[in-house]
Formats: sequence, structure tokens, C-alpha cells
Amino acid sequence: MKPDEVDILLVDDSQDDVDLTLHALRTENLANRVFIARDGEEALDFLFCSGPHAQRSFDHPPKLVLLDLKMPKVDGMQVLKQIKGDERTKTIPVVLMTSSREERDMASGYDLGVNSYIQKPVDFGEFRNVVKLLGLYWLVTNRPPIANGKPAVAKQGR
Amino acid sequence: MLRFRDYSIAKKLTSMNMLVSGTALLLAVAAFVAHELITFRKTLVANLSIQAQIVGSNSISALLFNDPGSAEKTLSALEAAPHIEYASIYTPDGQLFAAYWRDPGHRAGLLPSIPAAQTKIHWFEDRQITVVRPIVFQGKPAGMVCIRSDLREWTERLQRYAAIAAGVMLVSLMAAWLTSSVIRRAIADPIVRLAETARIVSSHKNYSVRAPLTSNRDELAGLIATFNEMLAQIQQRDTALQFEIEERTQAEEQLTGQAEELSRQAKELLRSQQALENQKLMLQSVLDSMEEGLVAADEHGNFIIWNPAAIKILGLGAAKISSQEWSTHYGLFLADTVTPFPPEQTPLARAIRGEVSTAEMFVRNAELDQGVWIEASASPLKEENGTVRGGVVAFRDITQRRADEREIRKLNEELEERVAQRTVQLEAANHELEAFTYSVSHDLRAPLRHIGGFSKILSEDFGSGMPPEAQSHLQRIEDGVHRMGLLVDELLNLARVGRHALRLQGTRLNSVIEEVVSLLQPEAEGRNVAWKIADLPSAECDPILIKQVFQNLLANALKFTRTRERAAIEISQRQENGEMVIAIGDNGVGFNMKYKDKLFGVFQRLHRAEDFEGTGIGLATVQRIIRKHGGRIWAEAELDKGATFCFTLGAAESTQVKLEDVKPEDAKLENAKPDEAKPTVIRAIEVGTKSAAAGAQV
Repeated sequence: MKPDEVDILLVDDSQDDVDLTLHALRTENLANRVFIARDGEEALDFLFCSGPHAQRSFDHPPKLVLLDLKMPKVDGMQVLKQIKGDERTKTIPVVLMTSSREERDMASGYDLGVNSYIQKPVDFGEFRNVVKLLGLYWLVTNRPPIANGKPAVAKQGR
Repeated sequence: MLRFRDYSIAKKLTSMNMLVSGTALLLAVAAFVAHELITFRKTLVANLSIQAQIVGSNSISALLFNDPGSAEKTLSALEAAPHIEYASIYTPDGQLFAAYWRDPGHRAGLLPSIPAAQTKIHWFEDRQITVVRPIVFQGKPAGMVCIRSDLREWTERLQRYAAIAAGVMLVSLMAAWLTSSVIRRAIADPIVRLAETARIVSSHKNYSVRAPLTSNRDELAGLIATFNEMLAQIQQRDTALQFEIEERTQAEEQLTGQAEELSRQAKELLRSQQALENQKLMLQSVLDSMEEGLVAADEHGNFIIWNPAAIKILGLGAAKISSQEWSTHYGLFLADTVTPFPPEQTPLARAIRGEVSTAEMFVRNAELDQGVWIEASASPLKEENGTVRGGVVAFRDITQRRADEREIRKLNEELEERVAQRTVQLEAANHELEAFTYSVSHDLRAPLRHIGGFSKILSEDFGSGMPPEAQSHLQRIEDGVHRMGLLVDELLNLARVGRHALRLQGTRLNSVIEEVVSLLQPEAEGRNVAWKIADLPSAECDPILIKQVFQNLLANALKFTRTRERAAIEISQRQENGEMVIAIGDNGVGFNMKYKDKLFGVFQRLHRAEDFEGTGIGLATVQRIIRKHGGRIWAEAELDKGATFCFTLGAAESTQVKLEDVKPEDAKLENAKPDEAKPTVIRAIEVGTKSAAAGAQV
């Protein structure tokens, strides 16, 4: 997978959650172009084409960022703030996925411009369903914004 | 029968007149008749005697010659006198010689028997008079003549007389009556009219009538005139008297009224005197029993009241000193306890000048070497017209109070300090608690999701290769995860309710219930459930929280009626002690009332999980919400007969209603709620909440 051909940027420090999410995406054949960042710093490097991802271009942003909130180093809220605070990245759809059902998290998430806020259901069936719906919606149904002057090509993840 | 003296004057006069004239006439007639009769009888006897002598003389020869025939002839000459019935001639020896009868029929033997030796007599007998006369010849008795005459003439005469007398009487009586009527008119009538007038005057007390005057000039006319004059005078006097009487009556009435008024005033005076006396006594006892010192002085500064408490507080009694000396005599000082109180500024001195004032002062004198603090308030004593007649000051010992106040201030300061400390501690604890809840929310759910997720994957991806026992164990793991998830969610919800800022607003309870019922519809699917929902009024409450209440209670009602062929759930309301009580009743399995205290405790369950699932947190949450609103919740039930949950909303905690405390996410959550039932992505967002609310039913 080339870094430029990423559909989903999954940001989560928990390997378990990563595995479960991937499992769920896989069920719907949505897991082929997923880039996994294990903390906020890595996610920011990826998105802002810096550090290890300096060779990446802003021309091919992910179609969706699945962002966990509670992470070491840079937490999800800071990541969100940077994404939405930067002209180059602010149009990237970001979905906050978290175990927290704290209302204040939800509130500040929306304040920062998050596109969706999802509390991860404990029940795996439900979780899988949510992930599936998310993937289908943002990758298939939704028309992505025009990135850097040209429309992002919707590609069937496969 | 009326007696004569009761007769009217007119009648009396008439009767008198007639009686007098009648009597006189009667006597006169009687005398005349008697005289006539006597005269007539004498004449009759004389006539008969003459006739007898004539007969005797004519019969002497017949006697002498014994020739009765000629004697009889002589006798028969008597026929000329028709009243002579019988005549006879007797011989001197008494032998009948000759006889004559007027009626020959009477011839037979009716000869009168002549008494012996009586030769010159006459007698009256049986309306007859019989005269016997001797016949004398030459001085010798030659025989006797007897003549009997009837008295018819006499009787006739008598009758004639009587008739004449009666006629005379009648005429004269009529004349008398006529005269008396004339007299009556002249005398009696005026008297009668006078009497009538007098009667009217007497009986009707009418002095305006007058006796009619007569045209006469006699004494009666004078009397009537005098009477009338008298009447006029009486009338005049009567009028005057009447007037006087009226005046007097009026005066008397006035007098009576005045007397009553006087007596009333006297009574009132007595009463007010008594009242005054009582008041005085009362005032005295009030003054004596007062704890406050009370001192009054007149306008010259002379003390007129000095109650026992005043002596006790000031240590001294009333002294005859000028107001300039009060401060020094009683030892009055300003608050610095050393500067003597300016004499003209003492509250009592100011009151006497007409001012109302209060002051705190320190009192220390020979009797009070420790000194006391007093608080005095004084006001002038005024008369009704506002003239100041002195002043009164009330004061009390505030030494203790001042000490207490100092103490209280100190304690307060300490308390405030402590409260500030505790607040800081509490805030720290709160933060800690929030951090804990946050971590429970996040950190407890993550591993739970992992366990559940991987066991699911395990059973899905590798289940077919596993022995059935392993599959069953995996299933149990999943079930446990599910329950654990519910528990975490509900615990979080419970904690959140506690922190949730109460936002009260007028809420239509029926709308909330409708929403909840439609949310619970899947649970009622395929069951016979009869809902009976009363018309509830709007209530001042937090709509989000109250929805949770109905969600829990109605889910419970549905859950515990599950075994019923026909479930009946009723929501009603009633007023109790001015509070609205909302009741949710069902015909479910109910519970034993001896466990009612456990009902609302966290993790307390009255049913086995196998029979009715649940976490035991729902009712605790409900109770927390109701209490947050300031209401009460209780339940009434009978085992197997159903249960009824009642609650009031009361007055919500006002401390929670600050709007600035309301966080914006609450508003968003509220907006999101109605969409819960819709199968959209957003539903997933609320899954946690929904499962919490539905926890009692799942």
C-alpha cells in the first residue's frame, strides 16, 4: 500500500481496538487501504507529511480519519484541533471513535469541527455494524471535498 | 221600672203638673159629688116623707072608716111617681090595711117588715129606700105609711156626675199636659240640652261644644250663658293646660333622656375608672415583670417611672437630680468606656426634647464595678395635641450579647475558613470523582469491548471447529460482557444524573410518556398490553431526566407484566396535600412490601435474574432524579397482584438551576434524543444511553 493511496487513517493506541476495527472493516472489504497510526504524533506526521512521512503529498489526503481520543503523547482532541485548524487538512472528514461517553468530549469535539462522534459500543456485533456503516457512508456514499483544486477520486476500496 | 226621681226633668214636670191638677180636680169633684149625693138623699127622704104624709092624711078617713078600698085608691095615686115601687098603709096595730105595687107582678108577699115600734124611720136597702111615717089623727096614731122607692134617680144622678167629673178631669188633664209641655219647652228642653252638652263635655272632654241659647230672658238662659261662658273658660284653660301638659311631657321626656344619659355616663365613668384601675395594675405588673429596664421622666427631668429591672440593670434607683447629673450619677460612658456620656445626649434627655433615639452605652458606678453594656431606646411622651410631656427610655443589659456576638463572629470566621477548606477538598473530591467516572467510562469499557469482540470473532471464525462446550463457554463470555456493559452504562448514567444540572421547564408529561411508550413498543410487541394514560398536566421539571424516570418505570411495568395474559398499565395523577402525585400501576407480579426499603437501593433486586433480568440500578437512578427535583417516590405492591409506583416532583433544588452551569453538550444531547428510535447512524451515538434506559427491560 502506498502512503498516497490511503482511504482510511485509523488512529488508535490500542492494538486490540485496531485489530477489532480492522476485523470489522475487513468483513465489509473496506480494510485494504487503511493506514494505522499508533498515536497522535504519528497521525499528525502522516497527515501533515512530516517526519517519517515527509515524502507524502497533501494531494492525496485520506478519505476518512477514524480518531481515538485517549492516546499517549498527543491525544485525539489535539490531533483534531490541528487537522481542523489547518487550511490544508480541514476538509478531511474526521470521525471521533471513543469509549468515552463524556458529554464534554462530545461537545469539544463538535466545537473543533469533528464530522461525526461515535461511542464505540461494547457489543462487538454493534461495533462491527457501526464500523461498517461508517466505512460505507464515508467511502462510498459521501462525495469527498475537492482537495487542492481537483476532486479527490472516489475509488472503490478493494 | 224607673223611679220617679230617675225620670227626666220633662217627664217629671209633666207628671208633676198632671198629678197636681188631677189631684186637685179629683178632690173638688169628689167633694162636690159627695155634697150633691148627700143633699139629694136628704131631698129624697124629705120628698118621700112628704108623699107619705100626704098619703097618710088622705088615708085617715079610710082608716077611720075602715075602708081599705079608698085607701088603695089613694095609694094608687102614687103611680105618678114612677120611682115608687111600693107603698102600704098599716093599721096602728101593724096590720096591713092597704098596699100598692108599681108592678102588679110583685104583689105577692114582699112586704117590708117594719121594725116594731118604729113609726118614723127610713133606711136604705138593696138600692131601695124605705120610708115609714106614722099617720096621726088628732094626736093619736091612726096607722103607718110605708113607701119604698127605688134609687134609680139617685144612681142616674150619680152616673151623670161621674161622667161630668170624668169629662172635666180629662179636659183639665189635657189642659195640664198642654201647659206642662209649654212649660217643658220653656224650662225642661233648655235644661235637657244643657245636660246633653254637659254630657258631651264630660264624656268626650270636648270643650268646644256650647249649649244652645234660648230666646228667653229667664234664669235658665242666664244659666246657659254662664255655662257656655264657663265652657269657654274651661276650653281656654284646657287648651292652655293641654299645651302646658305637652310642654311638660316634652320636658319630662327630655329630662328622662338626660337622666338616662347621665346614668349611662355615670356607669361608663365607673367602668372606665375600673378599666383605668385595671390598666394601672396591669401596667404596674408589666413594668414589674419586664426584663427591660424602663425609666420615664417628666418634661422637667423628674423621674416618674423606674421599674425594678431598671434598678437591677443600672444598680441604682431613681434619684432627685437634674438631667445634667445623670451621666455622672449613674456612671454612663460612651463606647470607649471612659468618656462620660454627654448629659444632653442621653437618650432620655433627647426624648424629653422630643427626639426618638437609640444608643449603646457603658454603665459603671459604685454598684456596678464590672460595668455593663446597655442598649437604650427612648422616645418622647406626648399628649394628644403633640405637646411633649416627658420621655421614656427602655434599655437592656447587652453585656452577654456583646460577648456572644464577639464569640459568634469568631466562630463564623472559623467556620467560613473551614467551609472554604472543605469546599476546596470537596471540589478536589469532585474532580477526582469525575476523573474516576471518566476513566470508568473509557478504560473499563475498552477491555470489555475487547473481550467481547475477540470472543465473538473466536466463535464466528473458529466456532465450527470447537467442541460444543467451548462454544457454550464463549457464549457465556459474551453474555457476561453484555451484562457488564449494561452495568457500566447504568452506573455512569446514575453518576451523570447526580452531576446533571437540573434545567427546569414547563414540560408536557403526556408528550414525554407518548415518546417513551413508542420507544418501548418493541418490548410490547406481540403482547396484549392495555395502556391507560390519564391526561396529565404540564409540570415544571427537567424533560431529559423525567423521560428517564418514565422510561425506567414503564419498562419495569412492561417487564413485570410479561407473565400476564393481558398486561394493564395505568398512568394516573391525583392531588395530595396540594402536590401532584403521578402513579404508574401495573397488574404484574408485584413484590412483597417488606422489601420496599430495598427497592431503590443500587444493585438491589427483588427478583431472580433468571426470572426478570435487570441491573438493580434503574430505580436508584429514578429515585435520584426524583430527589433532585425535590420530590418523593414510593411504591405500593402486593405479591402477584401488581405494583404501583408513585412520585411527586416537588420543588426542585434551586441550587442546580443556574443556567450558566448548563453545558452545551446537554443541549445537543437533548436535541439528539427524539431521533433515537430512527435507524440512522446517530442511533449508534446514543446506544449507550438507550441501553442504559432500556437496561431494566432487556
